[in-house]
Amino acid sequence: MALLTRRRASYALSMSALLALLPACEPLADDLDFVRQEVQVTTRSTLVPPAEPAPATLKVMAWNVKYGAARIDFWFDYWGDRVQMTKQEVAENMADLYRLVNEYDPDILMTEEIEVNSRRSAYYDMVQGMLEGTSLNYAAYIQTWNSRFIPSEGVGRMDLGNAIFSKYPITFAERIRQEDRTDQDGITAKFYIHRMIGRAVIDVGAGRDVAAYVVHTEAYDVDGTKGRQIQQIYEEIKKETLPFVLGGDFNELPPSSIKLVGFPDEHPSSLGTEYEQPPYTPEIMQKFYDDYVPWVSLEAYGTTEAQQRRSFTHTVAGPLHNDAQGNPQFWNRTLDYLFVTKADAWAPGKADVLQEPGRQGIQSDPLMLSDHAPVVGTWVLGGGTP
Amino acid sequence: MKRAMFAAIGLLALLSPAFASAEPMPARETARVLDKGKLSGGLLSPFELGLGGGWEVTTMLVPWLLLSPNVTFRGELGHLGKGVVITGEYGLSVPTGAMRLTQGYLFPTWEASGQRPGWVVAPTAGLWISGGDRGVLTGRLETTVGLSLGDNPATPLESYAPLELLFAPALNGFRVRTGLAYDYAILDWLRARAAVNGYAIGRSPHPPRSPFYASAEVGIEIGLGKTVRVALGGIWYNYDQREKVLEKGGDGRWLRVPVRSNDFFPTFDLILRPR
Repeated sequence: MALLTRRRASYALSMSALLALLPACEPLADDLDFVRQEVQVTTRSTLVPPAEPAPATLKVMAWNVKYGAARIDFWFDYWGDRVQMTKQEVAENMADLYRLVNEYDPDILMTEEIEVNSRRSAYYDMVQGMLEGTSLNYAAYIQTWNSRFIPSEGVGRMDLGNAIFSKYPITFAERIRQEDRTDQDGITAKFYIHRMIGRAVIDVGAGRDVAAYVVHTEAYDVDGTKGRQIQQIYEEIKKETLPFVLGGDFNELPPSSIKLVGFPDEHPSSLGTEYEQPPYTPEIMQKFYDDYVPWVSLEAYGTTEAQQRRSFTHTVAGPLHNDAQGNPQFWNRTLDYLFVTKADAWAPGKADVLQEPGRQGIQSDPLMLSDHAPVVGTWVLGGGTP
Repeated sequence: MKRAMFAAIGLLALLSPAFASAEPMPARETARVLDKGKLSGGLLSPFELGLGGGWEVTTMLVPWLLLSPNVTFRGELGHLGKGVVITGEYGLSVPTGAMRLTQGYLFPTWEASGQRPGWVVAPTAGLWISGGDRGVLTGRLETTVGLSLGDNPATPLESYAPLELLFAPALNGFRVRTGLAYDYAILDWLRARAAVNGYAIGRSPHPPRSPFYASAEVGIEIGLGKTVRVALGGIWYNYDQREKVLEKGGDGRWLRVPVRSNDFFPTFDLILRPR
């Protein structure tokens, strides 16, 4: 959820300003200053032919993979103070991620917080790793953060983004710039993440193309940036002419959520800082539920906290930390989503949140693999109301 | 503002010969040590004091401001023919203060665990050789090693070359530098300088990267009277800072491949060196 920042980001300003005076061939930090930009598609070293050359259904998964940090407590979450991982730690965590992906075996995977060349994740190329470690063949990496050296808490080089993976050929991919926060000073903003909508066109055989979108919106803004980013996503998918799936981490609760404040994974020392979780505004998600088909309907989501618990997708703290009652922490809110158009549908009983072993037949424990749970479903092409 | 500054420097430079002695300004950063009691110092250049008997002591001021003591003694070892001097260099620095002062920026705060960059002492040994009169050719070889006094959780920054080289003994274990410079007195009050340097630093703890750095620099020094010099120039570095670019391979696949970084930095210094 949180990516960098905290109070040290503001302390970094003077150091950043100093470095900004030094001209360099590779920019200090890439502003990613464009409206839309095509991105290159990378491939598995050896392609694995999909079992079904022209499928009527597609298994999809969206997962915020927390840059392969699993349950290592990083400094900005306040539960620990790690800044970087060893290559071995990242390799082991990524192997666990590949294992879960293989257990579910999606045709299309959308990931957020995936890195290809960041100091904190030992410069591990997670996009290529995911291709080689699973039977997914194609990847479009939607870079959102490209800073050569972030002089804050020793973060250093950062190359982070979202990605769309597919077993079927990605014939075109692009990233669509989202609005930046306006509640940061200029230098902090210069070194900060720039959110993107990722879009890929996938050839699923028999002359049929579908689109996949991956998103990850702002978490801690206090100027309404997240709301405007979510509105932009809504407007962008409205223009889509292909059948599509939208997946990602919206950093927002579903409209009928019961619990809106006081989540147990917010560390006490984070309260009162500028990185305390701002109030959620779940009503801004309503239009997606009105106009598209969510993988978990509001009816299925339920009307009590106990019912909604089955669809929670996020906890910062995880089971290695206890809540106020002394119980290991569990997923405590829903921030991740999948939507398809009303012309399509989700196969009954196949849409879920992979919260724990056994869900949809998995053996891995997702609670130990990231601070987000994967959301999954079987997308029935043309299975809805035309 | 810039125009006025350059105009002032130009004017002073034009007037300089009137103030200057007939001898050209001596070259700096050579094997030749200062005479007893003579001083030289700059904002970014070493502060040097001649001790007599072929010895001088030098220190860098900026690290002191970051609570990092450093001192180097340079002593002439001998002469090879006319005008060729060989000098040995023996120094010690303690960069821990700078690492601790920049916690929260270059280094983590480690608030939860309370860790701090550890104590490191960095001895230096080097050899200089210089020859020539109006044009001075200088070669140098220097090695600095970092000796940790206990645990040091700080890791290499993998940052810009000047920072990386500065902290390399403490964070990578050692830094070796070899360089060749030519410094020529164009006029009595104007010197031009060109230098190339090669560096090797110790291993980085993460995936392998090249430990070799190269730099090339050019600059001029303008004498402003008998005491002040202004040094202007630029330096280029070529090194591995973990940069990767997406390239299409022979098989048509796009791959991220490592490339070496190239940086150019302007240089400026104000030097006090009475003649």
